Amino acid sequence: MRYFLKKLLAFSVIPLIIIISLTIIYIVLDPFKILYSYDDYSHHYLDLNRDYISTETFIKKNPQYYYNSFIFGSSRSVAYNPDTWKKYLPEDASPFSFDAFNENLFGVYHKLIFLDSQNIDIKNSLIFVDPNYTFLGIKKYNDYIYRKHPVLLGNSFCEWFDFHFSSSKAYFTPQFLVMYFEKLYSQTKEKQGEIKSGPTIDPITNWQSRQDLELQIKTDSVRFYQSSYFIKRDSHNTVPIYQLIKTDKQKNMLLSIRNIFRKHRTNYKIIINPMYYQQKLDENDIQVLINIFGKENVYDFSGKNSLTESKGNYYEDSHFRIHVGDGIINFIYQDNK
Amino acid sequence: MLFNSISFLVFFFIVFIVYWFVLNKSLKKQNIFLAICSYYFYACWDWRFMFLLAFSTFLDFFSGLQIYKCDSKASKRTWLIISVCINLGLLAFFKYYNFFIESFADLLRLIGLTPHMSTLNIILPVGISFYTFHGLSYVFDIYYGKIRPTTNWINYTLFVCFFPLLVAGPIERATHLLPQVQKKREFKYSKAVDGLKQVLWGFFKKIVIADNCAKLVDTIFANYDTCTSSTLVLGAILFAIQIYGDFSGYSDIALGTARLLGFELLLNFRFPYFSRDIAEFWRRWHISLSSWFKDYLYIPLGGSRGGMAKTIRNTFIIFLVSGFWHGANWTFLFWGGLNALFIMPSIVFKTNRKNLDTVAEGKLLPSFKELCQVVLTFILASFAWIFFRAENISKAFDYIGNIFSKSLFQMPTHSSGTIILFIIIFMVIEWFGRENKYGIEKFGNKWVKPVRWGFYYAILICIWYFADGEEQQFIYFQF
Repeated sequence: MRYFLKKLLAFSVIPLIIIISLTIIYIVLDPFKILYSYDDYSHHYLDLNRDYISTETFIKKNPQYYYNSFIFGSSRSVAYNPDTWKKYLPEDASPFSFDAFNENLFGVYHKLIFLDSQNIDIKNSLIFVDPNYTFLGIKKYNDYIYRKHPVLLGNSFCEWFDFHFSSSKAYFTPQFLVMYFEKLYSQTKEKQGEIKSGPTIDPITNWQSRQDLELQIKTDSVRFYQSSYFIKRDSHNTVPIYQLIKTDKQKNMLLSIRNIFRKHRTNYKIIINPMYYQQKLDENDIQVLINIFGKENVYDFSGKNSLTESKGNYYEDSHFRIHVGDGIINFIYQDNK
Repeated sequence: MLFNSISFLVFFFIVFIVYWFVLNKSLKKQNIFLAICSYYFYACWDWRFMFLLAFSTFLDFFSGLQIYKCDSKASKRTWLIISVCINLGLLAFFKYYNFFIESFADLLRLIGLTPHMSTLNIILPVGISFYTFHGLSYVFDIYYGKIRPTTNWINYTLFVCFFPLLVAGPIERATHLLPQVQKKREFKYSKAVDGLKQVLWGFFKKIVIADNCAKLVDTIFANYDTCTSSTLVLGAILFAIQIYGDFSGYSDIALGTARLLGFELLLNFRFPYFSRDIAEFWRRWHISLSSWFKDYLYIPLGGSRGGMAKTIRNTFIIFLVSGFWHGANWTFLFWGGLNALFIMPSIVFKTNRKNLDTVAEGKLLPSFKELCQVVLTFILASFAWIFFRAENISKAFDYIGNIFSKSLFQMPTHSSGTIILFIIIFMVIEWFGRENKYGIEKFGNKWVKPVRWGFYYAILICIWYFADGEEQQFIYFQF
């Protein structure tokens, strides 16, 4: 038996050396930026967990900036500039983009519960709804990039363990490691003065924008749109979205969100995003939103319209540009005047 | 808790250490510990069905004792019937209730009636087909006088619920496993190394071969109406490889794991795709199930001793029942019937016991005749697998119908060079290992240690590379 274990240990030496080396690299370089605190998450060479970044930034900077105006939504929040929004808010407004990748109702709900529990004054709020998945599921994601910050889910040891376990599991895959070391290498070769690729994150408002893509479009829009990812719109990808708000759990979450807004006397808007494939949020779902939040607070930009017609309003077939977001905010607030 | 999961690796590591280091001096404690671990393993699937497993275990344990105690044949038969009826009744309820209701409703609709029959939302307990047959083999063996019942309920519980074979076999026999449970197990270095190697090979088959084939197979079968014929042929071949890699991979992990704990389980696969005829194929595929049906159904029905007509009838019965055992769908019945048809010529012409040795035994390559036989047998098996994989009979026939078109000679539209390369490497290794218990049992044994270990590292790297964090269920867990 001892001989067997000795042989097993001898066989394991090389794999153990590799695992330990990779673990040291993980701890030192912190590829997902979740082990240590950072002031700036911009231009990272990997896709980071946006929910984690948003929550960490809020926790770190709220004592300094006293955020009271919140943008909730998915990665499509790259189009919504908090500074544009601030023009329409009272002077004491301190906006914060509290978005996350693939944000769904579950995520928005838990963020508001968290803010309320922290006695944050939620004076203003924008919730951006994506017709194709905001109401698709109400469970938390398990992928490391979409996982919720543990503090939003009760801050228990299990949640923290799951969070870090899923990240390290993602790290210790050959596909990720190959990609990671390639990106590390290419990053060291980046020249000084070159515009860095990847999202820019405002250190105060946490607004994640694609200034790099805007610059590319400005420099050579033809080339940009030739290489950008757009599938031709046809009957296969412009399929209608059927009613998604069907369960009591979803409706209860929406009611809880409204109640939090009422408690804080929040000035809020629910905006349904314009999708490149022109999917329209189901009328029944829109009606549910109107019934809960009031017709004056719900704005529908989904479906076929002037925003969704033009390719030039999008970076690729999923995310629309900043001028579209500005236009939507201007429309909503000027409409109210 | 899937075998191919980190949680199982942690679980087994703890079991192994406690079993050999802490409890090795007491057989009783080892058995109790393994039984508890096995129930924990099962509870990880669904704790509610632990009680069903316990009930089935108690039923067969008690029935076995009663059968042995009874003096008259009639009483023995009564207890046997009670055990068989309750066991098969439970199996029928959980597995086939909805199937019978829906089929009966379809039949009524065919004759113009509109029945209002509701199906139940029944969850199929994992492994029920396996542990039911496991327990029944014990009861039958006592009835036929092959063994005496055990009075030690812990030993019997372990025999039924031993975690390596609990959810997907092999379907053990009391005559084979129970003595091992009752006897002290000694740790043997060579056995442990062999067990580890078999586990490694099992993971390779499952994660590298089967799971990669599955991705393509799922796409092809889901879009068969738009695929070229050559793609459909590729899909059928890949499914044949997938189901072999998946199921025999699971069996290798089960056997290797058991060997690490000092147990020898029944061999379940003996390189079936190197068979020269369908009869040989069925002597090499899912051996524990085929031999169970042979011993407890075919032979009691008369086997081949009642003339050709009876032999043909009995052969059809066991293949149909075997098909039905796999699941509540007409496709499985059709698959079973098709295999019965394939085997008929060899039964009629009495050539079904011709190829009892291994193809090209002792040689490097098969003869041309053997090669043709192996390829033809593979084609027949793959053809039948189409019915096994398809959602329903109509789609299976559509799939087959679409194969016969001009696009048979075009390049497949869905393909992967990487998977095909790995399949070739895999089949070559299996070919060289065809006279052994599993592919790499003796592969590289004569190499120097660094090269041999390099080979094992290469397998580990392949497993790690293709594992991709998503734990894919084994196909036979659904049975």
